[in-house]
Amino acid sequence: MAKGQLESLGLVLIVLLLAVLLVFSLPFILKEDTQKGGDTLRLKADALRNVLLQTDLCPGVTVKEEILNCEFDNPRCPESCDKLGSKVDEMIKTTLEPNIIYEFRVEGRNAVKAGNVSCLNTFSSASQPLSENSKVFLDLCEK
Amino acid sequence: MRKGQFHESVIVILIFTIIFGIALLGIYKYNTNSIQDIQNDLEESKSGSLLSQLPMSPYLHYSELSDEKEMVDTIKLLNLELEDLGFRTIEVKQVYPRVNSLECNKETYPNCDTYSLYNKVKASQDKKIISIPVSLYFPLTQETKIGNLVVTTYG
Repeated sequence: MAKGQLESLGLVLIVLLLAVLLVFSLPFILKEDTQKGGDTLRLKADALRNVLLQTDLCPGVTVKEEILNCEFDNPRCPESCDKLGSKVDEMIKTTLEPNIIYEFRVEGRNAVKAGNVSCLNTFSSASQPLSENSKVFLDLCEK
Repeated sequence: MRKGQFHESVIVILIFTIIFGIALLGIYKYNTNSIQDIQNDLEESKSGSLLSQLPMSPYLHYSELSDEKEMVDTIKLLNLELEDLGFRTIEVKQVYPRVNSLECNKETYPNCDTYSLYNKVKASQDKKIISIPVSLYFPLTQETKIGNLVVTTYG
């Protein structure tokens, strides 16, 4: 092998070594920021779930109470069982930053859903049971 | 040593010195930035702790005859004086339902939307804003509304 060829080979090896190092170090560099953002989002998801359920839907009736009322077909706010999802949607939209995608859902006899999460990195609140049959879930992720 | 070899050696040493100098400068810059990043991270984690602890602290928390609720008492917000918490601002902003965009005090309450709890601003471009939703309780009308506790950290 000629001297020039050997030098080129060395150069290629160095470039390859640097590329491999970069590939291995990238996950560590990027991981920290995702972790930080994730902690805030998880905290936000739990807080928002509690806040939504405690908020007044109409005078003297909270969202949580009305979800249960609707489960037993006994609503106390006007038209609330049909429009519960859109009311909750409006509350979440005014509370969260525009870059956060959300999905609020109540699983049970009277299912309620607001928003739709379609991200890989989703942060969920702990589920909150409201009655024997219904549970509340809230998922958040960043665009 | 031939004259050509001597010249080559001088060039190699010169290039090596330049690269070494640039590397040293890079390491110095990297260290300085790392220290600044660590300080910023520390301040951000302090803000994170404030965000999770403040709503449940006796300064803000609503309770009545040992009946404790996970809500912020808006009357307490009007007279709150927090101790020195560094360069940051802390405010609670009512977001649902929307009301007049006004600073809250004894005259404007409850027809206002912003309660300023702490304000120590640093003349810096570098700032980080984090927020968390909180339930706002209005004891006079017994209503519960939605607010955001917003902490701005200045780097």
